[in-house]
Formats: sequence, structure tokens, C-alpha cells
Amino acid sequence: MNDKNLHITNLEENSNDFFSKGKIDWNKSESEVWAELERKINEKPAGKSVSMFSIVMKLSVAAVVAILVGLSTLTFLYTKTIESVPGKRLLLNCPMVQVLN
Amino acid sequence: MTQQEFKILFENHFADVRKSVFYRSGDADVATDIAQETFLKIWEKQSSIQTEKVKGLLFKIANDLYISHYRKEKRSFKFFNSFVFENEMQSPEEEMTFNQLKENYSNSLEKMNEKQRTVFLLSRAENLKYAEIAEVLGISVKAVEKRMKNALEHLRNLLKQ
Repeated sequence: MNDKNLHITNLEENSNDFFSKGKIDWNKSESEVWAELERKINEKPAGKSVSMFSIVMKLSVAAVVAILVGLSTLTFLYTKTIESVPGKRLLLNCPMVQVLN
Repeated sequence: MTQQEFKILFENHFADVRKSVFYRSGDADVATDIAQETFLKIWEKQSSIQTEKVKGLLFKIANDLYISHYRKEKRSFKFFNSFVFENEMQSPEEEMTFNQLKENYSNSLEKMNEKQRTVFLLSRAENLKYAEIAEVLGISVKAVEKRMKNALEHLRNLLKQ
């Protein structure tokens, strides 16, 4: 062991001895802190967890998706694109409305 | 978690959480306030807490609260205002030597890097093993060893002046 380490060892012993004689002087005891905490938790009850994906939430999402898919399908099915050369008139019959082009 | 279970949690861990903050801040009032706030947060978030990890979580919350509330204030480290010694001095000479040593430690601790100081005090004043300090601070045992070595070097340099 070199001199430096010897010094550290002495310091370790000294500091162990020195700090072991002391103690923390708390201004509040644990029971006082608990009394305060108990009052606070009674004023503020524990938060209730609400799952983002509860059954109702899942059903709502499914319903919205179904409606969107349905509307998209209807739009797709009731759309027809026709092309005509300039000057030519075409008549198209759609299921719900008639479009004269 | 019922209030009774919460009380058991408090009784099992409050002292450790409060002491961990004290050795970091050097202020008993700050430590008490932060430890209390830590448990209040646990109560508010109790539904998402895994009981086997609660100790680590408590130390982490306390650490975060300390950083967010107090670290920025750069308070001076007045450790011996709250860390007291029982007066068992046999002679005035002994008392004078002790007071000199206390002043030297006080000055050294104030100048010491916060991370090294916390490890040093948890080891010396609380008599924790390195593995226990690592758990409290959420760091590796290797890191604790390194900080302790640096703290002792720092003290050696300052105390010999």
C-alpha cells in the first residue's frame, strides 16, 4: 500500500468514526408527516384509472370505422365516369339520379 | 390500494426516501417536503404501480422532484444544521478538536461535487453498502465506487490544507 492509499484508509476510518456519532435532527416526526399526508389524501382521493380502450370505447371506434367504410363504398358504387369526344352528347342513367353530360 | 396498504407502504419506505433526499440536499425540511410529496404522487398514481418495483419508483420520484424543485436554486449545503452530534466531549481540548474537524468537514462537503457528496454521506453517515447506495441512487455499483473514490480524494486534498 502506498502513502496515498494509506492516507485514504485513515481518512475512511476517521470519517466513519466522525459521522457515526451524529444523527439527523428532523423537524417533523414520521407520525406528524403521516397525519399531514392522511389529511391530504382524504381531501384528494386516489385517481381512478380510466382505460382508453374500454369496451364502450372499442365499440365506438368500430362503429365509426364501419360508417366510414360504408359511406366510402356507397360513394364508390354510385359513381360512374364516362368519357366522350368533344361535340358528342351522352346520356347516362345512374341508379339514384340521372346525369346528362 | 387501500389507505391501510398505503400506510404500510409509508411505514416501510418513508424514512429511507427522506434520508436519501436529505443526504443530497443537506436540508431536513426540504427532505421531509419532498418525501411527503413523493408519497402523495404514489397515492395519486397508485393504479399503475407494480408493488415489487415500488421502492425504486419512490426513489426515482423523489429524485425527480428534488431536481425540478430545488436543484436549480443552488442552495448552499449546510449539512450540519440538521445533522447533529450528542455532546459527549470529555474535555475542552477534545471539544475544540471536534469542532475544528466538524468545520473542516463542513467546508469540504460544501465544496464537494454533489454526486460524490451524496455517495460519501450515504456511506459514512447512513452506513449503507455500495449495492444499497446504488439502489437508492439508481446507478451501478461501479459508479458508486468511482464516486466514493473521488470523494475521498477530494476530502484528502481539502482536509490536509
